[in-house]
Amino acid sequence: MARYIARRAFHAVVLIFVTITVTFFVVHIAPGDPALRYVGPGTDAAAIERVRQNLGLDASLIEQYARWLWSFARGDFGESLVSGRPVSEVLARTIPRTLQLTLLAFIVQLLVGGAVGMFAAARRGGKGDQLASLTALLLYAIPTFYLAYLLISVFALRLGWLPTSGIATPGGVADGAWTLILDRVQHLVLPTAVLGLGSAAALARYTRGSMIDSLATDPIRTARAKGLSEAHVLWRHALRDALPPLLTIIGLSVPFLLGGAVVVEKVFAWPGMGSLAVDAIFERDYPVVVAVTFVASVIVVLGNFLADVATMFADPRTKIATDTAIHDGAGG
Amino acid sequence: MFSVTSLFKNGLPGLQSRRRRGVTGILAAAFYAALAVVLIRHRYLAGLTPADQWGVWGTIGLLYGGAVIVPVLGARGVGVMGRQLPMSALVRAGLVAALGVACAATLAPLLASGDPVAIANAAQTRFEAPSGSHLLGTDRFGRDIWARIVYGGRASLGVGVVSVLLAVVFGALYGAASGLARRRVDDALMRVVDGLLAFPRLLLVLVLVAFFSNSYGLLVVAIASTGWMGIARLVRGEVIRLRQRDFVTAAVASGAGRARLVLRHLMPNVAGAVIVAATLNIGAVILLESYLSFLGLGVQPPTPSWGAMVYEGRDALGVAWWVPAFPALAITISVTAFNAIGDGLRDALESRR
Repeated sequence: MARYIARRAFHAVVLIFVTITVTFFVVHIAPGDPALRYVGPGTDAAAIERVRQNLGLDASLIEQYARWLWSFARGDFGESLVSGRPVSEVLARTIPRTLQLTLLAFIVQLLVGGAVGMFAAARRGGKGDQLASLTALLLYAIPTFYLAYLLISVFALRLGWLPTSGIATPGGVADGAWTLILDRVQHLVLPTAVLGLGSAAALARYTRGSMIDSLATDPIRTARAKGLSEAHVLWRHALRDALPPLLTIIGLSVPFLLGGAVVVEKVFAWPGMGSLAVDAIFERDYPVVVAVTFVASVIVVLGNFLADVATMFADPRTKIATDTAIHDGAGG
Repeated sequence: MFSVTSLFKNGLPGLQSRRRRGVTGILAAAFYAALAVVLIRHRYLAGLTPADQWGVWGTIGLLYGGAVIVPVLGARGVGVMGRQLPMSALVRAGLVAALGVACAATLAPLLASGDPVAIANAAQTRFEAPSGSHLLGTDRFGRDIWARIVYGGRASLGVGVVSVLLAVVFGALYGAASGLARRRVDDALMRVVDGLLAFPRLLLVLVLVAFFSNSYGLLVVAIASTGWMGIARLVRGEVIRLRQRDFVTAAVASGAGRARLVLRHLMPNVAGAVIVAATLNIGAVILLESYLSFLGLGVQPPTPSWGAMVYEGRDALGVAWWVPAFPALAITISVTAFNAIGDGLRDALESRR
């Protein structure tokens, strides 16, 4: 078991290495001289050359790559071209906000998606299943930002229950920890709902499929024949069998949530990593773009790693299977 | 192997109508002949912007898919890899919707009641509610929403279909190569796939589009180059599974080269699963394009695209709900249609096993 976890962890480290390499080459293949971003128009060639030297752009590609790896290993992402502040400082401010949003959305996705999927599978073919499946299909197909506009226009503009956007009431609220927390929660409700419901729709579809597969197996027939209650069969037997593939899907929902956060943060003016990424991309703030991309991929790799480990605990067969057949199936 | 006549008769390789000839085949041929005449009569391809031309290629791709759709609609079931499978109402509805949207986009000049781009100068034509003269109303510049939706379908569907086609071809070849390669090479190739999958796709496409250039062609390439990994994994898995089968051994023993082995023996067996994945992918890419448009990096104005239309309508939500609602509906219908087809075909494929 420890060996399996160690192997997966090594795998994750290799992946992060690959992502740094991909990011490095995307940035270096892109047209345009990054040095020109640091100087004003009309700067003479000698000054540009000095900037190039300072940035290390005059070194060979291999040398730049090695330097790049070294600074990443130390957590040094350089300085923002726009604000001049260290990128790590900007990240330290924005990452927690995005994690707050995506973790809450992740929980919404698990609860809503899992419950709806289980419900639909238990009532397969019935009215409830049709309604749930159709809702999931439509919710999955609605562009996130339109759903956001709809919710804003109803809950913020018409009913006035929730703020339209932002992370806190402008000008601040009355002192006291509780009012501050309440204010933050109010600002979180709509973004979380939009982000969570979109991925809940996807998870509901997978859960339904996986549960239906598992309900059709022999052990379930036996459990029913023993006279176990339907709820017991569903929760204790069928779910256990349906869980391993779902854990992989849940792991894969991490990049989906992070990508969705880019859009949702932009709609709701949520000052997290997604907004930071979009602004940096438009301003061609290379160090910030590279750092955000890197952090996002580290979170994704971490999510997959946790999903792998969780799968191993949920399904002991994985451990045996992967020790022998890691090359053929589970290796990918 | 790939001739136009065989396409009309048989549909896509790997996804073939049981009824190869007969009334439906003739109807299909007549339908496309009529379509071709209409297109040529309207000097359709003359003087188009590059974006529109890409859209044309996209819709032609869809119509190529339509070559199988029309015969399939007449048939009782869908034949996948030589077997007759029942076709659910869901798949049928999805096929009709997808074909309908594709036809509307292709025939936009005939269906549109106004110019999709020209800005009306009369102030009273802006934000007109849906009516007889403007079926779905007008936007802030007095432009007809219906006209913009049917023209916008070219960009939105075009991006979806063309980029998925590119991704499928590259992903399938990559996956097959990896599956047949030696273990070390295979491992290395798959680590690259894992590495690319570790980026949130939207972020990667944003970076590619913003850092390179913002042309329509690059948009398609950027979306395709971030969408082939799933197909590659799928094909690799299937190839490894099939590699041990007798018919592969027999083909190798009878002297089939690697290319022949892949194209003639392995691909036909993988086609069903790949078509399912590709169909689901088209839906995902239509959404992805709308997100890019929302962030200002999708298809560039004045060329209309659905995502950009929803985005432009955001401020009008309170005064003119129809401005963002109908393009959003168009996106939802198209994505649902492609997902329904993909889901239905997958169910049919899996029940076969």
